[in-house]
Amino acid sequence: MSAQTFTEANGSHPELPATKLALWLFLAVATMLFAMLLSAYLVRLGFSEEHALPKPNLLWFNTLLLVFSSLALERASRGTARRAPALWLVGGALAVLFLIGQLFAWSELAQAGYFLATNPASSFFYLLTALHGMHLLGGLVAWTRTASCVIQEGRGESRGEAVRFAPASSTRVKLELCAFYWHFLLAVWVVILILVWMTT
Amino acid sequence: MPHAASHTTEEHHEPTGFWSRYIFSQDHKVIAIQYTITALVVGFVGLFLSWLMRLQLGFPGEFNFINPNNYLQFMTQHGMIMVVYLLTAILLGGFGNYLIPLMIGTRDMAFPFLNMLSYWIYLVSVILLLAAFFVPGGPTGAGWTLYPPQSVLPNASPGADWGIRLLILSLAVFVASGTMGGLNYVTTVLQLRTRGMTLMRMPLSVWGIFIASILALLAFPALFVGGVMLLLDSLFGTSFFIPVVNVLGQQLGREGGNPILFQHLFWYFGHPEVYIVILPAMGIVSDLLSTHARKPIFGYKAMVISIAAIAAIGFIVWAHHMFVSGMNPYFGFWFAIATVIIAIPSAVKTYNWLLTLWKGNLHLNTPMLFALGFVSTFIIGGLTGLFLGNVIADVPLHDTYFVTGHFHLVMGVSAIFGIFGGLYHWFPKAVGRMYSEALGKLHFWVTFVGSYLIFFPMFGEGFLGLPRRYFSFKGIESFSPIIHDLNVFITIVALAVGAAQLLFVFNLIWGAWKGRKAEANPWRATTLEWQTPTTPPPHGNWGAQLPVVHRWPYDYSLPDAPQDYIPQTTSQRS
Repeated sequence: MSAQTFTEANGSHPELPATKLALWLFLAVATMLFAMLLSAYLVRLGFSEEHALPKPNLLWFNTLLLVFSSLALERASRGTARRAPALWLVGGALAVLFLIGQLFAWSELAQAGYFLATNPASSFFYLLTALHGMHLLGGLVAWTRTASCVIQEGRGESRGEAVRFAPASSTRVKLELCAFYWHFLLAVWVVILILVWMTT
Repeated sequence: MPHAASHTTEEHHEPTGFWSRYIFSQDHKVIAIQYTITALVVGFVGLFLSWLMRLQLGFPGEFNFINPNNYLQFMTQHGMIMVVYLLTAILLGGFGNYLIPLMIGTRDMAFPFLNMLSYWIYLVSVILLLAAFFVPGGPTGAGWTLYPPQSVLPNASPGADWGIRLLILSLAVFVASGTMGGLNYVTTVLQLRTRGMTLMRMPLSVWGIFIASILALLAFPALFVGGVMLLLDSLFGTSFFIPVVNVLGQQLGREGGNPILFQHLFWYFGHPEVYIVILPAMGIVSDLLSTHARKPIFGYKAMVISIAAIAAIGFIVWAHHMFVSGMNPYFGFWFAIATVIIAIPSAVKTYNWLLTLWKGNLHLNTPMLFALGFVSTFIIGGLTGLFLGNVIADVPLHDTYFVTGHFHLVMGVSAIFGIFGGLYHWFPKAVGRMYSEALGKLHFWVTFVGSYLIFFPMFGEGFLGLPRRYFSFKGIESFSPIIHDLNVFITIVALAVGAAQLLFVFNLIWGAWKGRKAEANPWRATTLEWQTPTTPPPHGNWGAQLPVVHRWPYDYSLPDAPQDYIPQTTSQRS
């Protein structure tokens, strides 16, 4: 028996899908996690003289990738069902590129002699980027599951069945939630980047 | 007036196979029972470990297999198991799962699949936890607080290599499971209440579990972050928490890490954790007292506000666990004040319980006895908390048995009394049969009197300065000889109380198997779970139509009513 049948039967709060509320709650959890980690970072830096860290220029490029990834998903969630599949795939591909770019940034740091245990700045940098990347990987799982819905509805559109996703349709909600999660991760990444830049 | 929504065949898509029905079930009631049984089993491991510790303390030198190393391991694992894997899991995963959908009138959780996943991931965390007993070096013995540096430096504490790593892994998995559960409980309470079930008509059990779930969602990330950093310190030689350390004249390659930082992260989780455990127990006890005293709960609104206030203030008192850590003394001033403030909503709740009982028609059955026991141990444990909340009193008492007595009574014994009361109370609904009232009462009296005999003398030991965590007091001649006699006494009582828990197990198993068939509403209670069409409720809970709520959950002994209780489903006129 699916949750949907129950929900519709209760009919208590149709205006706010349960999945949307759950995502907000999850974002609160993730916010706590990164807030804890960043405050620990700032405290910990105060206890060491040495916190140099080279900042690969690649990080700027990666940031751009994530910005465009976020934009593409947002456009897909607002646009027509016909254009959505292409935008959705582009957004996801950019996110994958971002993750690959982060791995290259790691290898640049390693080549410069900065490893996980080198100094507190490098320890936190690896840890923060790893946790952020894992959140994005989790997002990509949701992205993949949504992609199949988007592509199916896009096909329906090409047969002229629907011009836009209905505002409350389940696909529309999935797109919006996924895009929203992406914006959240973009914001987290920008905060991490700014803090790292200011403190090393 | 019953709910208009018509249900078609979908509603009867109840899984029929054994596996999908009892093992990989998505039914919240089955998941609740799975959580409860798993938590109780792991709780018995924790109980057994406390026996081993007491054997050593009561009869030092008599039991050769207990040495300082494994004594510390027993202590650490006992604490971790009881706080996290028993109390948290059974109150949120067990009671939360069983009660939320039934008490707010819905058919299941908002995300049944996630709910099932939450249980199986919890089981993985339990397996990882217990696996630590079988790895080289055994489980960690660094204390349940896992303080670095001794928790991760080689040979600094037992289990400082594999033990600590497995435990951190297990905790990380537990946090994942708890987050899945918490998202479900909060979403379900906010989104799936049946028609008429406003927030201020929810039973206090649901309020307690709901607020505790929010606390869990916001507090567990601190444990997760602290744990991951500790794991990296252990595995990869980072210096998040490890300062410059000399071992036998050799400097380890660590620099600048700050152990106090870990303590802050740990207690930022650890203090809300206390309320994650006690708020659901408070909610359950409120419902039990009202039902079995046949009186409306006194000050329902104040109860709800106090739960919320305790939760909110609970996030800014964490460092009262750290008065002796060497942190800035000005912090202590602030945290002492916040700690005393949190006593106010706690006292409001206590007075409300007493006023609910006042001139009530008390039915002293097993659930009620345990609820009364909760109020008693919570008062004694809470009052001794006021001593410890003040820096001046805490400094001499902090590392003594006074603290052991305090937290066992206020959050250990109190929480488990809430759980026992709840288990007896809802047992007839969950299995459709009655337990033995006589055995239940015997279980209560032995446990209740025994708990006081175990933990009350510890306050005295603490005042005499007896340090906690010590394996043996041999060679410390300055202690009064009474300490030794007290320790023998406590150990004998602890063995008896531990054994008495078998009565409870036997009672439940026997009751489920051979017990008298239970009526649908044996306690003549008002809340929705007692109004289900069949007992135990089937998958989907309510049959064709959802219940509709017309009143708050505490209409007991109204003057002109035909019965001494009016179910929440009864409309205003009748």
